[in-house]
Amino acid sequence: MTYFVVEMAGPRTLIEDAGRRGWAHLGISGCGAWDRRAYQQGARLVGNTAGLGCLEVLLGPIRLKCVGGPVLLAVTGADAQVDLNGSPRPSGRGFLVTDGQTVTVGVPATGLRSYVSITGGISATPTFASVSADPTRGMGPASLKTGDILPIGDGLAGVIATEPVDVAPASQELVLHGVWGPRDDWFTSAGQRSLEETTWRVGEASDRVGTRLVGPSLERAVTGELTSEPVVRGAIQVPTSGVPLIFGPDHPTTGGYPVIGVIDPDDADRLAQARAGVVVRFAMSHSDV
Amino acid sequence: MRLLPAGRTAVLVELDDAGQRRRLHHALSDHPADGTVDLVPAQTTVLIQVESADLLPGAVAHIQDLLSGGLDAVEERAREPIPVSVRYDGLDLSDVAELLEVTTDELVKRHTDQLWTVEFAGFMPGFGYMSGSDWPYRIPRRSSPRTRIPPGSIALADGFTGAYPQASPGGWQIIGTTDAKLWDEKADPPALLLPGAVITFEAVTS
Repeated sequence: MTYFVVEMAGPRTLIEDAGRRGWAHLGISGCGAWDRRAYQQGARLVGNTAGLGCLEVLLGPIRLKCVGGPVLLAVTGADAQVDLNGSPRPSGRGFLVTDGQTVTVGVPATGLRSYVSITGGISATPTFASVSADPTRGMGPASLKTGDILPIGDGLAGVIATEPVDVAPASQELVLHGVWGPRDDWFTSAGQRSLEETTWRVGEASDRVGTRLVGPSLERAVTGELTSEPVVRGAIQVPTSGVPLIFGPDHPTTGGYPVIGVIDPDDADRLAQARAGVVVRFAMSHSDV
Repeated sequence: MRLLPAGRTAVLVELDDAGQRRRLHHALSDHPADGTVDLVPAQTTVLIQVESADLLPGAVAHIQDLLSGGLDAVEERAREPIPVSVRYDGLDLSDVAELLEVTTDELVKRHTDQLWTVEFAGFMPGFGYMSGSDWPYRIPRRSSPRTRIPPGSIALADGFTGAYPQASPGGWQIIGTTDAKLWDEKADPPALLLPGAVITFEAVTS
């Protein structure tokens, strides 16, 4: 049996997979790896087929010691330095780790979240068919701490992708594409224009529940209260302050503030790497619905 | 009734009232659109989220089909009420009674006389928003929310009764406490207050 011992856990390292689906009607959020593209790239590099567990490392550094093996490991997402027994290994490419070796993932130069994928997946007790941590609701595995043992599962291995993944520096400026609605008509046309014309910045108080933006207040056309309604990942919700936030993977399943628009799934992935201060602009279009 | 866009993979259907919403939710539970990942009801809305953007037009056509057939033909399911015991000892009980200009005994009587329907869940896993069969009151939230509402609290806000499966901050007015197991993530179903379930509250003293 192969497992990893956590020698250094980092400020917040979570076990995440492809997330929980089909439970939102009971108030259970989707969760899962926020940067799904990086998660899927990592899974391909180590040959993981299904939605197996990986580590989502927020701003490193972490150190893991391998017991057993050899096993294939890959780091994707934010461009952190990766070392095997102190020697650099390229990010975005699988490499073998054998008994007694240590892997470190450093603090990324840009971006926020690195993903550590291992063939077979990191195993944990599933909750609602997923091993994803949901720290907001206290569901799923706890955030990693020193001394933890991470058993590697025997999840079905498939084809290993040998083409390296490009781990580019995270962008300091994001254009988020999305569609208006469901409640764009709760804002004046000046308020709607302001969403697209403002140079927003990512605020400090952002987390997996949502990315809080810094900028002006959007002018409302309807001032009454909205009855709680279902919300999705990527929803641009406008609370009483008028300053929008964008829901991440741990968002509540219903909300009582109007959602002016919803950003596209790929752009929601890119938000996972947006540090405080990163510039955000919106490019919205109308849906056919 | 309106269909509102909710991103590339979801559509929000807004109905005229909770009854119509319940019927559409039933119809879509029995006949889901192809590729449905999540079907989420709220008070007068239902969200349908599909696997990928290319499945959304099909889902929209499916919903329009159901709606054109007329929701009035969809029967609301009759459910056996689930009794939940409550100690009406909440910190806000007398304040709420005063607000409604009734005695606390009358408030408890009104609360226990209702058939409560779980309209939807949200806020936290297993938290149910329940509406009464004959409950005329709309209760304002507390002007300053509490930092901790204890688990098992039965509380009021707007036209709803809610029940807190876990401790949480919140602004609802607490009228009582239950020992009922509201949430058990190992059970199937994990929530007592499933959307559509009918609840009656019974006053107990200890």
